[in-house]
Amino acid sequence: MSTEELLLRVEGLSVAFPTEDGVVRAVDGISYGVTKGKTLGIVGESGSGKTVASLTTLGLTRRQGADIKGRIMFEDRDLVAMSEDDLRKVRGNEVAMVFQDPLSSLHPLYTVGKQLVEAVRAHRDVSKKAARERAIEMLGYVGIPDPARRIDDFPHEFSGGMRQRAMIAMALMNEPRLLIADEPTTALDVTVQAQILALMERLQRELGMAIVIITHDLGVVAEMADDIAVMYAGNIVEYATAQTLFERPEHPYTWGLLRSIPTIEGQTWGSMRERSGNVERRELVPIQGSPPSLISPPSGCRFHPRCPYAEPSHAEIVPLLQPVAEEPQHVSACLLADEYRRRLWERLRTGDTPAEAIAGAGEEAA
Amino acid sequence: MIRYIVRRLLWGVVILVVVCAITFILFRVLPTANPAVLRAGRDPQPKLIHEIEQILGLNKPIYVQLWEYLKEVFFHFNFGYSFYSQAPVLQLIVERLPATVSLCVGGAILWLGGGMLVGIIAGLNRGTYADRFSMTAALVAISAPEFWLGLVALYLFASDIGKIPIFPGAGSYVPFSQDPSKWFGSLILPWIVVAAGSAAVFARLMRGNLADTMSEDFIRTARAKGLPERAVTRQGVRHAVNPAFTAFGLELGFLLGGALLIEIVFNIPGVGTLNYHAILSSDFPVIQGTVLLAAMFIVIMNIVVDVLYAFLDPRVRYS
Repeated sequence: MSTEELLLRVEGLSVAFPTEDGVVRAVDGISYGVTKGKTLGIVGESGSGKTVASLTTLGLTRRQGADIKGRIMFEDRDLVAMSEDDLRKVRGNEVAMVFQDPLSSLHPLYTVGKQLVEAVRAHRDVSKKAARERAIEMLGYVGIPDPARRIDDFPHEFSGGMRQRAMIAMALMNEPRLLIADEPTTALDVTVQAQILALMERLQRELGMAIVIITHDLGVVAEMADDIAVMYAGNIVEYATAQTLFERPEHPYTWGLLRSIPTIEGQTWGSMRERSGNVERRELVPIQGSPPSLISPPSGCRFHPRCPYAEPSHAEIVPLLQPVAEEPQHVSACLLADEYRRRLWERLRTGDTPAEAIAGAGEEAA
Repeated sequence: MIRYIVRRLLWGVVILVVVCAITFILFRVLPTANPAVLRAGRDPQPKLIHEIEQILGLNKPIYVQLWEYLKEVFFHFNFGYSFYSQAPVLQLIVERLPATVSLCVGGAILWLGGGMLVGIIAGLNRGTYADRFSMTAALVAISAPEFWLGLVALYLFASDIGKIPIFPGAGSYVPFSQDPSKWFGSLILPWIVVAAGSAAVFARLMRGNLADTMSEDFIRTARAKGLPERAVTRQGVRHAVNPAFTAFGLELGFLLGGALLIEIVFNIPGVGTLNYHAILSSDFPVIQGTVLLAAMFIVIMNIVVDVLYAFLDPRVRYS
């Protein structure tokens, strides 16, 4: 991950929304990079700030009165400092976005074709006819059968999977170099989810664009991502290559996410199983509690109220993202001692509950 | 679609029969006066009154009168004859229709245009002074009775009695065929007054719809595509106008009712004043004819609005 290859560099980004109840710090000082042609997965619960960070990349939080700090460098241009008009020329052109619910994200009263055509014509001076041909071509490319006929359908005449394919086609109309996909499969049937992910992988391979995929589902990024950033309460708490994150997760929140993915007969899905190195689990273990308020987040480590391994001092000390021992590409923000943390994970991955793991790891130390 | 329209038209006929029956019974059971007495001159003999009642058919049982009336209307398109002038009711109405149509069409244009414009401006600038001012004005326009608004308008702006005499006042109506510019001038105040209430309802609806629409996901998509803000707003307005359009069909009745009163206030010789004088003099056939005409207009316009809605919103399909 050398700096020259980076297409997008987010540095110290903070996004705060003033509300009547107080200032919501949706994103609180995060940094990440997206390498050209690679995929970054941003994972976290709802309210962790993952969507806000991406909307801010496109300047879509500006009109909500967001207070934005930090830099978002797209190659050598800062998207935070850019004027609204310049940013508009980047949106949907060099950086495109696909949203969660394709039905509500498409205008219900315009045909799919019209919505694709205007995406091109917003950025290029082409005739309607040429734009329409391009739209038919793209619809076919993303796997919509008989695109020349279906282009005049309205969104409600498409199935859920086809709508998301149409959304993706719309995002690709101007051959963006970065595609941001915000929970692209969450609103879809499970069988369709796999198809959409396969489609995105194929498009990336063929078009060579970089992808940021935002999800609450580690299973989704396991398939696709090269790097993964785990977000919690507006912070990045762990950041590593996908391989490393599944093999040696360092943060208790990541452990919680890994252990709350449903599996069949104690096994994880497909490549997840390969990547997570035979995690055996007896049952689904949810993360206790709910995401904290972003108006007055917990002191110290923001995860401490929900962390089974937290110690009293963790309510006071703010953990920093620090490289994991012997793994310079792997950073994590946890106050537990490295050694102790590794012992915990060793027990958790063989199926211990957090309580058993704490007891076991304690014995080993003694 | 054809089947839908036919079904709606048949239901429309049923509604008209019911309207007919209700007005018929209402004015005969609770007449403003006995039409026979009014026609008989000063200190009439009871025999004369009885004779007149016989000529007008008022001595027959109500249901027989109703049946004969309905038969004439629906099978011969004959709305009867005025008790007073003996002129055919249809002819009386047709003569006065241009004035009423002028008032209603102009009012409707002002209602839709003004209401939409104010609604869009307020909806896009929620919480600003423009929004608060226009919504307060709308609330006043909704609350104030139209005849009162009409009188206030005359008091303030009429060229004869007004404090700021800038528009022609009551009784200044000139038919379009005589002098289009005078016609236009004489209708400015009536148009504004007749449109005010409905435009205010429309503006408030439009404002609410637009404010909701602008936070929809597809508006975010439109911005994410890099569309200029004007194009984004256009998409929002396109979506917000549909529910407001439904209200158009419903509000039409209020517009018509308002027009009746406004014609009286501004002394415009339209169907409204015809109806008003007919009520005062218990001229049953004319009352019936005007009410039926108004009901027919509203029924048909509502069908038109519903059919147009299917074109406005592709998700709506009638069967």
